[in-house]
Amino acid sequence: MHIPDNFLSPPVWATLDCVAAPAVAIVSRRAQKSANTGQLPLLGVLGAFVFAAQMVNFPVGIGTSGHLVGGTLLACIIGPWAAALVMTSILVIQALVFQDGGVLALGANVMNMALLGVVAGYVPARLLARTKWSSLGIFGGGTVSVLVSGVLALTELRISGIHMSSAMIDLSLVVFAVNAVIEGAITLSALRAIERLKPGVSILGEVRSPAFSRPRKLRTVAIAIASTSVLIAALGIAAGSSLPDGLERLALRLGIPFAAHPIFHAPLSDYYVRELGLNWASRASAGLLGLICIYAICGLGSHLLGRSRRSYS
Amino acid sequence: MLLLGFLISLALVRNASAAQLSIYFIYLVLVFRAAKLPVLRMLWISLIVVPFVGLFALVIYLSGDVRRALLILTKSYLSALAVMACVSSTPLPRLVQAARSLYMPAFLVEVTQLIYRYLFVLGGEIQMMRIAFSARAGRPGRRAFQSASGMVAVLFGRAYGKATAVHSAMLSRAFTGTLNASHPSAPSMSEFVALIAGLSLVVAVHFV
Repeated sequence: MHIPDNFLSPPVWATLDCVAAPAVAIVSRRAQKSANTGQLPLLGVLGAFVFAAQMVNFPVGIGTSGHLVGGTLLACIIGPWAAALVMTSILVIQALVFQDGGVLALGANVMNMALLGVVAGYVPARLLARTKWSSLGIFGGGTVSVLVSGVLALTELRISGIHMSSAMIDLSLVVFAVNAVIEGAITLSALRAIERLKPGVSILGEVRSPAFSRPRKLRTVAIAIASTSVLIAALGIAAGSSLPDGLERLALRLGIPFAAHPIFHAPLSDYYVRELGLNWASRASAGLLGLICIYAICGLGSHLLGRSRRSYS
Repeated sequence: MLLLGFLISLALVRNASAAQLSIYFIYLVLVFRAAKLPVLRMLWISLIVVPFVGLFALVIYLSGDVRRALLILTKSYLSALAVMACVSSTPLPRLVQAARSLYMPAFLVEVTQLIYRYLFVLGGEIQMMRIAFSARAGRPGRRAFQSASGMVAVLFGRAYGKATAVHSAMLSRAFTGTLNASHPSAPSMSEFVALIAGLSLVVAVHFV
């Protein structure tokens, strides 16, 4: 979902632009390091291929058709870094030449679709590669990629103050889910067709640890856990129960004022960002902010621990 | 720089009055005239953003905030006009120079150039394949879905072959891994004056 200009509030688009800029620089450097001289024309032409492939209408029944987005497909062929770079280039061209997406909102669109969307699509495909569920991984990757992009866009619009009723949000989520499933099916079908035509083109077959029984790399597992926790924090809230938990129920039964006089008012109390109201976006934002805090603390702690161990050795 | 200044100025105008929006619009029309671009055609092409933006504007309108709905619609259209003015009046090499001077990663700029170069080539090929598909694939269904996948696969094969040919051609022309680009030329006096005038105007609008 390409967000146009003047939809996001200035703090939101400015923040995302500031975050996207160094992220794109890092992605560009990594893609360049992993590429040889022959990769530059390949990346350019494959970017054009994605553009052209988006014009192909896949009939999905009931008189409708879908089209490929291409992030996951690219990631399975040229790797996540190069795919993120190519998708960023595509978004830049779409914003400047085709008026699809805003220029100031480019940071948001790049974060949603080119960076996080591509990574979210690559992780399941990579994790399940060389197993009997590799097709499920590719399908899941395409699905998750579109879902993550859509949910992020919706969240950014809500944070920017675009008022949407609950019914509208639910409808949007349903539309995203349907599009996500279609993208998964198209990605799997297209990749299998490409592999028939050009065997070995997919990098998913180049896993360094080919045997499934060998332990997975720590980084891959960490990425999988991080991605799953982000999804649960953002989406699990919607499925969570609003009934009181066991302790709250006991307090109610015994007549104990459970949270009558808090000594300290935490900024994200009850897992809500108060400034956003009492809705799904508020809870999801609180969950994601909490995750970021946890990762930051754990990352800092492990770094300090590693330094202290190295100083003793 | 003027495009970015215009877009930022437009985005920061919170409760824009009709006078402020009119100033933005008149400025863009003058830019089209100065660049000798067909004004009506540019105004018409920029309406491409209206369907998507209009949907959200409708949602906001139905929620009761009529002013905000109209504001979003108008500002999105003005943004599209501004981008159209910049891209239509600036040759691609100058846009590439501008991207480099704004410290965009060089590798990203090179990939973007190549994508733009070849997207119309592959776009033409897919159009021919779509016509063939329509003539042969018949009714929608599982077969049509598989045929569409095959079309994508064939397009990929052609793209991959084209990339190999392009690389060989570039190597035969002393390609060393990076695309050479001319250094950005210093702006002429008229360009400098236009830049200063434009930036002054987009700042002054906030005080109207």
